[in-house]
Amino acid sequence: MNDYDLIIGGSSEIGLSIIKKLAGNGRNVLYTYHHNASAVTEIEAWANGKPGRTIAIKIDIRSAQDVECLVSYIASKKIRISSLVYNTGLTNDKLFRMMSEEDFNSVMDVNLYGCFRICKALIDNLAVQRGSIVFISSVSGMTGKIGQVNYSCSKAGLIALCRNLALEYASVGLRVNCIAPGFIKTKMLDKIPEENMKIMKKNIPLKRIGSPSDVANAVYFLISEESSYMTGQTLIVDGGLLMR
Amino acid sequence: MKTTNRETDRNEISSIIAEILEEEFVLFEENARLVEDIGLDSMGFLELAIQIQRSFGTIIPNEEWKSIITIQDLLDTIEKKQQKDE
Repeated sequence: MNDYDLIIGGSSEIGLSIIKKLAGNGRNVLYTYHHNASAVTEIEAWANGKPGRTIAIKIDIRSAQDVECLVSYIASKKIRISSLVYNTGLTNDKLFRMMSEEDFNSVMDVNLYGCFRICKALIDNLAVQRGSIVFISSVSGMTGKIGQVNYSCSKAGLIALCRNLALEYASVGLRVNCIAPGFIKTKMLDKIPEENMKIMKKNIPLKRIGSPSDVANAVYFLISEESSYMTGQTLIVDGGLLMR
Repeated sequence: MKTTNRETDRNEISSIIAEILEEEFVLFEENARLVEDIGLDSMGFLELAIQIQRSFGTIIPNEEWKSIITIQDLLDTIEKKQQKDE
C-alpha cells in the first residue's frame, strides 16, 4: 500500500493534530513544513509504532520550483496521493488604510495562490484515485473582521476555489470540500488578553474555544468514505459562532 | 478473428466516451473527430483524460491534447507513451 494523504502545512498546531488523527488511524501521511523543524521532530517521536507512516518534506509553497520538487518526489517514490489537505496559512493584520499591496499579496500568495499551485500540480492524480481535497479556510472568509482584509479575502478565495473545483471534477469522482474553523486554541490566540478571551468565549454558543483536534476530526470525516456524498461544501467548526 | 491491441484500445476508448456522453456504445472509426463528430466538450476532455489515465495508466499532458483531434491521434499517443514506458 503506497497510498498517502498529503498535508500542506503540517507543522502548525492544527497541522500536527491532523497528522496525528490520520496516522493514528492507520493512514499514511506525507506532510510539508516550511521552517518549524521542531514540529517534525515531535511527529517523528510520536509516529514511532503508530499504524500509519509519516514522511516530512520541507517546501516553501510560494515557490513553483518547490512544488515541482514535491511532485517529482511523489512520482519517484511511486506514492499515490489519495487526499490533499491544504492547511498552510499566515496572517499579516493591518487596517486597510495601512495595508500595502505587498501586505495583501504576501498573505494571498501563501493562503490562496499556494493552494492553486498545489492543486494544479496534483489534481489529475487525485482525480484518478477518486480522491478527496480539503481546504482549511476560516470563518473570517465568511464574515468581515477588522484588520484582516488580506486574510479574509484569501480564506473566502479558498471557499470559492473549493466550489469551482468541486463542480469541475465531480463527474470524475473527485470531491473537494472546505472547513471553516472559528476560534481554535493555537499560539495565535495566546496573544489575545485574558479579558478579551472571556468575552470571546461568551459569544460562542458552545462556550468554549475549539481545539486543533476539533478541526482534525472534521478533516478525517471529509477525506473518509463517510462523507462520500459531500462535495463543494464548507463545514463550519466554530462552536456555533456564526449563528449569532 | 484475432483482435489487435489497437482494436482493443479503440474499443476501450469508445466505451469510455459512451460513458462520458451517457450514450449507447458506438465503436468509433479511427478518423472520427473528438469534437466535431463525437461531440466532446471541454468537460468531456477532462473526463476522457482522467479515464484514460485510469484505464491505460497513460498520462497525456494538457499541451499534448491540443494536437489530438481524432481517435487515431489518441490511439497513436497512447501507443507511443506505452512503448516509451516498456
